[in-house]
Amino acid sequence: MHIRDYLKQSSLYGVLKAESVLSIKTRRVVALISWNIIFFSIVILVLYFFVRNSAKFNEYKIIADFVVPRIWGFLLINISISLSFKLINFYLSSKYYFEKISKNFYSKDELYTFSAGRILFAGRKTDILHGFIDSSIGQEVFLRLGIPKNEITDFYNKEPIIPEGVMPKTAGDIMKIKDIISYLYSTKASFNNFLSIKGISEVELIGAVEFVIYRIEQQEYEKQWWRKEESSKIKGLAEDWSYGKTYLLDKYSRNLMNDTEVNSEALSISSRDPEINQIENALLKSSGSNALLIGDPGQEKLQVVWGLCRKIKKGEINLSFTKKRVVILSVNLITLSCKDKTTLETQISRILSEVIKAGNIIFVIDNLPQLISLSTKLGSDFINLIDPFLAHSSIQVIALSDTADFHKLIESNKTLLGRFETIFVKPLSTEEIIKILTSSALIIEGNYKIIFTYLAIKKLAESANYYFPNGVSSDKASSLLKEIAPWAKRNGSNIVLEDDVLKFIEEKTNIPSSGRFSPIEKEKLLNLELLISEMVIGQKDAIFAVSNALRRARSGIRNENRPMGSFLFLGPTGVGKTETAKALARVFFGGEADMMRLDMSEYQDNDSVKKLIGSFTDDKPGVFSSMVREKQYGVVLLDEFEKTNHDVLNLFLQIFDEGFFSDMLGQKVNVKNIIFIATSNAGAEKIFQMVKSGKNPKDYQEEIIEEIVSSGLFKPELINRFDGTIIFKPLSKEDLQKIAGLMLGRVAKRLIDKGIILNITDELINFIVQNGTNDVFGARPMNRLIQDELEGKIATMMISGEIRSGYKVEAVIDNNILSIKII
Amino acid sequence: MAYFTTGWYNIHMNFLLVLGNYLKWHYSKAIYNVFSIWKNISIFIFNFFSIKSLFFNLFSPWKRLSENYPKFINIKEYLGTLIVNTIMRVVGVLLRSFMLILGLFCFCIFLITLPFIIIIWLIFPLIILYLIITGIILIFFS
Repeated sequence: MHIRDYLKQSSLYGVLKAESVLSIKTRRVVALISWNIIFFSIVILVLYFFVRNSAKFNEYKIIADFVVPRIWGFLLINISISLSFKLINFYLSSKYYFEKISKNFYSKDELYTFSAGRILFAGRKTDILHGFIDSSIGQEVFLRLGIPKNEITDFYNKEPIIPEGVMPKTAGDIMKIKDIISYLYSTKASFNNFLSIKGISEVELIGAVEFVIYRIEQQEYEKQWWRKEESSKIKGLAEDWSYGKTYLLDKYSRNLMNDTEVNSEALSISSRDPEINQIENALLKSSGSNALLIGDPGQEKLQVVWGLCRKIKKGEINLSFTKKRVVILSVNLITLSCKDKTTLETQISRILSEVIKAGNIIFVIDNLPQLISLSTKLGSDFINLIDPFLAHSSIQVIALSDTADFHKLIESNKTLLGRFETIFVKPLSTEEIIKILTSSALIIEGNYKIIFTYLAIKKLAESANYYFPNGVSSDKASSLLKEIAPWAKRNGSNIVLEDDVLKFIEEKTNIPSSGRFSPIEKEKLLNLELLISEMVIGQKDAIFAVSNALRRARSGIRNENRPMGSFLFLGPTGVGKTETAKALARVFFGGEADMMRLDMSEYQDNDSVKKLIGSFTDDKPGVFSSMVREKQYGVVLLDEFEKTNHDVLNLFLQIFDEGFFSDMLGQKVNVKNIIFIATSNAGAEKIFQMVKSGKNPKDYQEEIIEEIVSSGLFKPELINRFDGTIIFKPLSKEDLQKIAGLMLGRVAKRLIDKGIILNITDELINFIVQNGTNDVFGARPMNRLIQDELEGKIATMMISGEIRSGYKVEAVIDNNILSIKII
Repeated sequence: MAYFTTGWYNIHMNFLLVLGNYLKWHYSKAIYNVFSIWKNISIFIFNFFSIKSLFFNLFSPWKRLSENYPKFINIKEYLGTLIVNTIMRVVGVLLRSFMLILGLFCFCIFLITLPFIIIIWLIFPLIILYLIITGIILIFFS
């Protein structure tokens, strides 16, 4: 069926036609012109009214007799035009209005929703695809997807017009915009390709469409000033006259009913309904009608209370809640003003008495555990003090508590717990957070004159959890949204794209976003093996493994719910395990100082886990948690990993698996952007023996690991959690010579800074290899030897004045004794 | 015949179609919409003056200000409390009555506007037509 015929079958056709004839722009322009004419006509007529009887005016009477009736005529015609346009606006917006209040409001014979009809109407002379691109909805969708206009125009012009033979299938009785999008995505391969190249999936396309529809509906909805919800925002003149005054409570609290979150339609969150219903049921009980909201730190608990306030205002709740005031007590203010037991007890009792006497208050305590702690500190029996009030039939209390504090301070107190209905506030899903963000974005857009793309909002919602694991995701996402608008404005941008979000997060966290590289970083990533090999000799497998892990992480194809990489380096001492970690830090993460190092032999005692993640009882932060919180992006070296105790190993088992851990306060610590390198001497003896007998330990990796597991050092599940277990083989003579060359090179470089040139000879290198290595410690003694024999002797000569800046020196070996010669 | 095949014919037909649809809405669904708006405004006035609350709490003490009667018989104290509580109730009754009368007056005034609003809505297209015709007459024929 041709679109035109299909369109005409619906009663909405006339509305679409009216809208096409009189577009929003035309209506605005005509209304503006006619208002101006009305204004000037009235001004002229008023002037005429005052001057018509004056003697001077008699001369112009004939002109006035001709002009004045015509001005009246213009005035009347323009009044009629303005009124007609008002009616037309009312007519058109009523269609949107019905779409908003009930998605199923349309009758079957209307065939399609108004938004879907607008797309079909735009494509009546071409096809649906062209219609979609042509329609105002389509154009806004592309804007919200961040696709530049010229690219759309190119695609539009290149795409041949193929009139539809079959109309899109509808999921319900009437065609919705979603049906059109699914149809276009599945049948128009070129459209599909066009979006896929831009990395836009069908879900994202539908998300952007929903965002646009929501914006239009919201705009139309706000025009309906006569709605019950709008008028309910205005407080009644005599609302408080029948209820008691709360002088003291007002000092320590605020009325939640006045909060923007309660009065803004855009900020209402329907996904909180189950929790709100639970509160409603709890508060309706005849006595002990109190609710305890438990959730992660952040505003989510308050969001539920705001939801309750909104329902009270709209009258969408039990009648007994009408005219109730939801008042939140600030425990911080109480803490500041109550310095002793008597004051605290008196103030709390008076406040609660006021609440009961007022008769219209739902009393919210913003942090019950903090109040309990305060009273305990001041020596007050708080629970017994408030218990009679909580049991009172005329009081309704909603207490808020963080989950960790609930377990610590409330759960064990059965009396207190018995007075409350406990309600756990569930964290919102990413989809729900996106919904909240889209509505908040519209408000921010208005304030900052900025546009958010749908993909930017989606990225913000996803990033909130990934980069900021503490607190509630929706809170974090909302704060990011509020922060990014002024940031974008400062950077001279009027549109926030997905890339801007990544840049913003990068600036905020110092963690580079996956898939975004600077040219220097790109060069480094591609040549990582080469760059590390300049510092680490003879351990190609290890270098390849860490380089690969880093490339996978930066390109964004790794599992983002685990650390960036976790490796177990096994092998004898002095073969380059630690050096590999240092080299990685030096090459990629800015410098050796950026490597975080934990000497695991320090964590052998039973309280090692406490030392690492902190202890609640001692109130001491953990070494590891503080370290990775400060630097969320880098390398962590876990040296001598086998020496730590089993509890610590279990902690790292979870860390390698989930990419986060909880510290002493139950706060999540993110380690998803960290490469862990655990080094161990376990199996060193076996590796050494293998090399001695001419075997390559790499070929016997499984055997070595099996021996380590059977010795009980590491559990098999821990070994399996590592992204790679790498066997470091003992170094060959050539490797050792290269290492000696490298180390001497570093000494020479330091001497150059002092103006002294050190000539590195083969004789010196051989001396260092011969005396600075052994079977047990590998190349480790080399450094010591260079320090003692070479650096020490040069230093002595510098102090005595034998060597000065501008000298060239060389080491001479005589009878295996090193001496320094000036050349 | 030429007229039927030209763009003018289409424009006129479209205009008639749009006008027809509009008038259908104006005299059907829109009346219900106007009634809903009127109802919402009435409810708003009712709530704005807190009529229900004032009516049910007409004799309550002003802002629940009251004193507790002594637990042991003490005539002086008892009378003192009685006087204070009575004053509070009297103040409450006076102020509430004033607001209640004012509210009911506004509410009733608005209630009786419904027939006028509906009539104006029904003749609205005619008013517009009248304004246009009068305007044209004034411009061209006066």
